Amino acid sequence: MFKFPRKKIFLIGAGAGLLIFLHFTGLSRPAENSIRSFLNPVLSRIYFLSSEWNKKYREQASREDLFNKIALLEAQIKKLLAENAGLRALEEENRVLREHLNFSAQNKKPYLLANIVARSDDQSSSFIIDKGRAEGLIAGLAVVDENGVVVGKVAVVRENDAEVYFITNHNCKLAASLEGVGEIAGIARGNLGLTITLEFVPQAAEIKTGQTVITSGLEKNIPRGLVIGKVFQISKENNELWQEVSLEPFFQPGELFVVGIVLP
Amino acid sequence: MHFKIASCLFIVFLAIIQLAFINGLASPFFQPNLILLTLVFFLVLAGLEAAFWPAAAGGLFLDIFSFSFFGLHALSLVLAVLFSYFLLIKFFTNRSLYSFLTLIFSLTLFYQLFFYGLPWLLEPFRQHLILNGIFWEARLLELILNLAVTFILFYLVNFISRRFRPVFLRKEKKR
Repeated sequence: MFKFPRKKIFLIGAGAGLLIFLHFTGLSRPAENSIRSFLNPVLSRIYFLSSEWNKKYREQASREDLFNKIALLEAQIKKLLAENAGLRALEEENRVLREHLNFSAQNKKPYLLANIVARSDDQSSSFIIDKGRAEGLIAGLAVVDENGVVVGKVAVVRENDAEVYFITNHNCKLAASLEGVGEIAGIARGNLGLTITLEFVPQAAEIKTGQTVITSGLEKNIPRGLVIGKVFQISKENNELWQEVSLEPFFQPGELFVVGIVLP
Repeated sequence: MHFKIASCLFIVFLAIIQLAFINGLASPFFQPNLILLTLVFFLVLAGLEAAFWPAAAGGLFLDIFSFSFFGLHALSLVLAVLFSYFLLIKFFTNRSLYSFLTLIFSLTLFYQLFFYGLPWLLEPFRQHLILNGIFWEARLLELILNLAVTFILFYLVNFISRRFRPVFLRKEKKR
């Protein structure tokens, strides 16, 4: 039979209660922020090793030469798609603005780089970056990889770090549209941690597999033209109001260790 | 006292490795939970107090870095240790392999129950996660991998120390 002395139970309970109280009143925040600031460089270094290991593991799992070639081509395609989508969106906006207001082309979008320091337990849900409120981050900003492809959205911001939901997370939603077809718009939402579903697409909209989906710019703080994914499956039911469009993301979560946050 | 401090620091170190390295690996390598694996050995070899304080320290450390409800990791680990200790003293009083395997199974199960169940209890109307096939598959994989790693560690430690019993119990004369 195990017994904890009553006094000890009371002291432990009081200690736990005090810690929780200090956290929720914010009194322990300086200490917590100090611990995080001190350990974030260590965590990001260790996380970098983990992603390097992932890369090596992936390389060994398939034929080396073919994988390298495919990876190179995929990286080039992603870069070109992101560039192309950005330029087309820019061109369209430019034309409309020139016709009505005689404006010139917009500058390049402001950007903040951040290291990934940890991932959530279930891999596909979220990750933590080492930038926070102190660097000007707010919730709702788009997070992209080195090719400008959207990997997620800032969910919760603390003083020195922030949590980012992956784009495949059910809680991550983005206002989206089809590249080059601005009038077809919907909400891109994560599905099962693996894919993205484009919701609220009318039945009459003509969509083809392989088309690229970008951010529509209708959402606050997220500019237009950021690549979200590629259409790989379309489901049309006659008795449904909307089509179900499934998108494939352009990135590998395991290989990310530095991301960029697109600032408003 | 020294052992308590050292074990707490060791668990915090394992929490750093779990958070930054293990969780970032490809499937299925991200599934084993180093903290639970270590706590089961502390629990069996050194008793409740030796596992309780490291569980609290490790949980508190994870809570500082977590965006979940503050105290969730600490509470889940501590409750899982307490429930597993109850099983240990009631049913598994020896240090055989099957005791270890059953304890790591129960520790993992209780931890998952509290960690995923407590948010539902505290905020019942908020959607915390989707309980689909992928979620259950991941939980099952975590259980299986924890069992497999415990199996390997048991024989490794047994090789170094004689503090464990073999798989099949030998009859001992009553004194």
